[in-house]
Amino acid sequence: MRMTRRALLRGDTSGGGVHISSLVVHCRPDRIGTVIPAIEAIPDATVPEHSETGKLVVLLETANEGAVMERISALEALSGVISVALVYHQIDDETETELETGSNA
Amino acid sequence: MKSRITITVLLGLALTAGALAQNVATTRDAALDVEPNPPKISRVENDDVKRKRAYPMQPPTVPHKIDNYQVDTNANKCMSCHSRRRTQESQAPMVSVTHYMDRDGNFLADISARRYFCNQCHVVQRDVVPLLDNEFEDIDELLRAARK
Amino acid sequence: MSTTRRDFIRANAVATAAAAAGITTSAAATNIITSDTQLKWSKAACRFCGTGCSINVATRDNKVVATHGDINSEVNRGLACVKGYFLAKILYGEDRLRQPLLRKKGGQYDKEGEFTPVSWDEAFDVMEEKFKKALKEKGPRGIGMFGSGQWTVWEGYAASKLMKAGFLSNNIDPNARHCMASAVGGFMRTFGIDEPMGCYDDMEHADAFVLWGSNMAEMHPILWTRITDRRLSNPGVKVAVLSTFEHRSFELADMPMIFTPQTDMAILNYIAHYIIREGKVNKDFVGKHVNFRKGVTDIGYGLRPEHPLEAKAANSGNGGSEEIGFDEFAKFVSTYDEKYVSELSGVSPERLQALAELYADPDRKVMSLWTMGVNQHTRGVWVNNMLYNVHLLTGKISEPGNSPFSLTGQPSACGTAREVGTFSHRLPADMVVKNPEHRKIAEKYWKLPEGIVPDWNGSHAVQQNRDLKDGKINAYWVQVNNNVQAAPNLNEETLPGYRNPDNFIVVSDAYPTVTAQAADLILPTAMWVEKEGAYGNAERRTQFWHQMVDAPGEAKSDLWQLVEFSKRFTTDEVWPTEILAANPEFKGKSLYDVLYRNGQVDRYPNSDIEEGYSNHEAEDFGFYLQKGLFEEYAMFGRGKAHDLDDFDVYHQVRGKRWPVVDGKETKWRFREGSDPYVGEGKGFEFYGKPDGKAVVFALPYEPPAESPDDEYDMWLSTGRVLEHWHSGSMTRRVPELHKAVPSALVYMHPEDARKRKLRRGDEVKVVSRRGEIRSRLETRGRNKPPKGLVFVPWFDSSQLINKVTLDATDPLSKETDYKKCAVKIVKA
Repeated sequence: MRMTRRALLRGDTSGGGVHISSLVVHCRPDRIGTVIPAIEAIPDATVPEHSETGKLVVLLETANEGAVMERISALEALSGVISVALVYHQIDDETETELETGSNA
Repeated sequence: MKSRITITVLLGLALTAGALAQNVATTRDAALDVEPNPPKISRVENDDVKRKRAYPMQPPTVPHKIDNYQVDTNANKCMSCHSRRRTQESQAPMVSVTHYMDRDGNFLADISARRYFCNQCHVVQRDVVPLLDNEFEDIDELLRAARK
Repeated sequence: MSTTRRDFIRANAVATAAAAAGITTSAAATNIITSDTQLKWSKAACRFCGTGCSINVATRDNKVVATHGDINSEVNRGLACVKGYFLAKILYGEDRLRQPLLRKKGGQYDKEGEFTPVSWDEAFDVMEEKFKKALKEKGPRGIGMFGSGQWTVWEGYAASKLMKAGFLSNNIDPNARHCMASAVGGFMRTFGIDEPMGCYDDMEHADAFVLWGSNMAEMHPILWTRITDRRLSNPGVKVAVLSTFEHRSFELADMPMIFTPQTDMAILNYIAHYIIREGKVNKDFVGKHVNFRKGVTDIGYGLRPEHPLEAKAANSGNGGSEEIGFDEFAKFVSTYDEKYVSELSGVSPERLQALAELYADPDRKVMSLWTMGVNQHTRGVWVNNMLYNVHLLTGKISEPGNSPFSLTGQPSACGTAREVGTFSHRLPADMVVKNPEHRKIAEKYWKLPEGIVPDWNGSHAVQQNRDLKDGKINAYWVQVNNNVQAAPNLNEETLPGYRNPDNFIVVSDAYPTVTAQAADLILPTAMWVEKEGAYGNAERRTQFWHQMVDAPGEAKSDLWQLVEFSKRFTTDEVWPTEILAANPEFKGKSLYDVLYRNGQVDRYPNSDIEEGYSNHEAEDFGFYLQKGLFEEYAMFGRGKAHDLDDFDVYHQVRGKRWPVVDGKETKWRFREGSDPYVGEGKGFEFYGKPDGKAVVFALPYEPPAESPDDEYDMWLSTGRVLEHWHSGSMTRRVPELHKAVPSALVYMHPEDARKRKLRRGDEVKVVSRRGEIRSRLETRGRNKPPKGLVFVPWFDSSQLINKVTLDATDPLSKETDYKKCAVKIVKA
């Protein structure tokens, strides 16, 4: 009962919004040079920060949470990567932002 | 706030005498020696409309009733709509992926046990007017003001 | 669509991950964090309960803009409860106090006048005059101070020093008296040293959790996440919840038990009896590490001496005991068998046995947890002792997962109220004012003349209100608490005391509470991250934070107020002439000079303050006041099993658990290999006692002060709710929290309601012999009382339930029993 009603009320099935998440990737320090380009080759992934000790901050912007899980699997499979940990996940959806002006002068 | 004080002062004067007549305790409806009318039990807002968050990390409030929801060692009613497996069917928002990590940051197939009791962070909102305004400024407002 | 919000989310995502990885982000190093989206993230301890979560606080343009759980914190690992997530808003209620308010009539102070804005100078002028008058007329006993487990460490220390070594009055007590005094009494009696031997790590190691009078699901939600995690991830783990009514913690209970109020004592004696009867005593441990004593009984109820119940008690307030042997103890508890205890408590014999077996089973690690159900109890110290009894008999103590754990309600009940010695009978590091050696140590560390610290126990919380009513205390200062709402028996004791025409009452607060309403002078106060602070949580963890934003208007921290006020008194005015004659170098000095400009407190320059943070007290006084106070205070504990690390360390780490020796914290005390104070080869050593042995106490069940009768036919229990903290003075100003739980309700069993022809939502009166309140009836809410008991939360300033409660206390700890008195519920 509730599910039907909620589906009706929302009336959208796209899910909407952008999933922004950040991860800490730990890789072998001597492999940083190859791991960073490999990560940046993964769709929606960037490496805005890293340390010489092999800790990388990876930012993901994906269309849905399933993609977050897929990207994590992809990261884990990269040669030289020791571990991947999700630290932050936030859905920026339009219902929350539509009230804002959007001016960015 | 000022008008509120004036009103309560007048009300207080009618009912009590002496120094207690001037009511500065803004969350109380009457002087200390007077028993105010208790408000009726309020209804839970149940319109399913998502509310704006104060900042991105704020846990969203629950926009529907949760009366008699069973959440115990046997069942978690909230997850029957909000779990990853059920959201397509229910169209309810999925719990954040962070909820699938355990205390040590490992990924789990299901929601982490440490996040099991949803109402420790997510609460309903009742149909009442806040006692007082809150002057907290949203980051967006601050950024916008800074640009002007 | 806005890009600003998304930029902000991106920047935050990167900053959070970078913090978790230990990488320092700089705005220049990344194109994600631009000057537009740049927030400053700092760490702080949560402002609310005794759990002591670490919180990341984002600031920008002198405003707090976001808060969330700190991923790097051992306590909460990124989580916060609903209150913690809304911390950013507690600073911004529209009615923040911005300037001092004094009751005035015709331009002059008048007790019957109206609150009028005044300058700090005028406020302190009047306050000085009133304190000097009281000191002149009645001596040091004529003034008093009521502080808090929400004071920062240095605030409590500065206040205690001002009262005990400045005004020479021990009439200073914290509101921790209402919540932790019985726990302190229990620790001192059983172990001779305060605070838990275990730590929160026990929650990941225990095989059974037993809650004794604690609704952790609502009151310690983040610790509850750790217990929930352990229970749901490990099917063999058992959770037992004991309470006088059903509440949210029962949702996780494998063994739920509702018992008749006060009979927890009998249940604990039964468990001790069961352990002995079934041959499960850990004889090796008991033989080496335990003494047995029998306590004095019939000790009264801490009421006024003329109260009939008090007059009737044979040994009113007597905490004495005599040595006995194991056999005598075994005989003493043998009368507490299944049959007797089941009849008394209402818990079935099978349930009692299953509970006792958790403790008796040598292969099961047990963590007992308790809070106000045990402490706010007319036999609170005894129940604490009895809880230790069952852990000591089985040797289930001081090792991972075996842990009798006394939880605390306030963020610094341990760190400030207890450790600093703000109680009316205590000095820092568990020392007491009655002990001449302890006073001498304090005088030495404080660089003050010998004999200056008074040797008498000051008035405790409940006694202070009685003294105010009786006109014995005439000048009174309340900081960081809302005692008109919190103290018992408001109508008969608190309000007459505050409004006594002979008295001058000062209240320092961030918001106009009902206590401020009852005062004569209100001082606007900086709160939480508007000042540099330190709190100590329930697992002995000391945590620091910086001042991150400025307080509104003219608001100043409690610390600033205390130190600034000390400038207005000279030793000549307040110290005995014979001490000044013997120590002429102290003549004519201000209290500010002798207490805070003593070469120790003023030793650290403001250049020591971490770059990028302000410090309004240091800027005013010209030295790093907090650091000086902390380092002076730390002298008391170093080498005395209360060791703290260096001041600067705490600004870097997410807290450390004392004793901190050679930079290393202590997780489990009293056990060799874990606690550096335990001697080699000892195994365990309870070094708080001279012979290194803890005490098992033989204590009986004794009835409560007031029980339901024909007229007042219901038990009343009061307590908190998840969404509000204590009296709600912060949380009720957060719209989301207010809208979650807007007002108090009377929780009642549906059958009790039917019997009274009452329905859910009806307006009712809760009436006791002392007063009444009007409320609404709830029969379906989150709390489900058994027949014969009602629960009313106390956060609602429009429904002051303490008009109804009884000011009966534990006669030993002087802590009020807020969990039981007799009331009737009638339709309004």
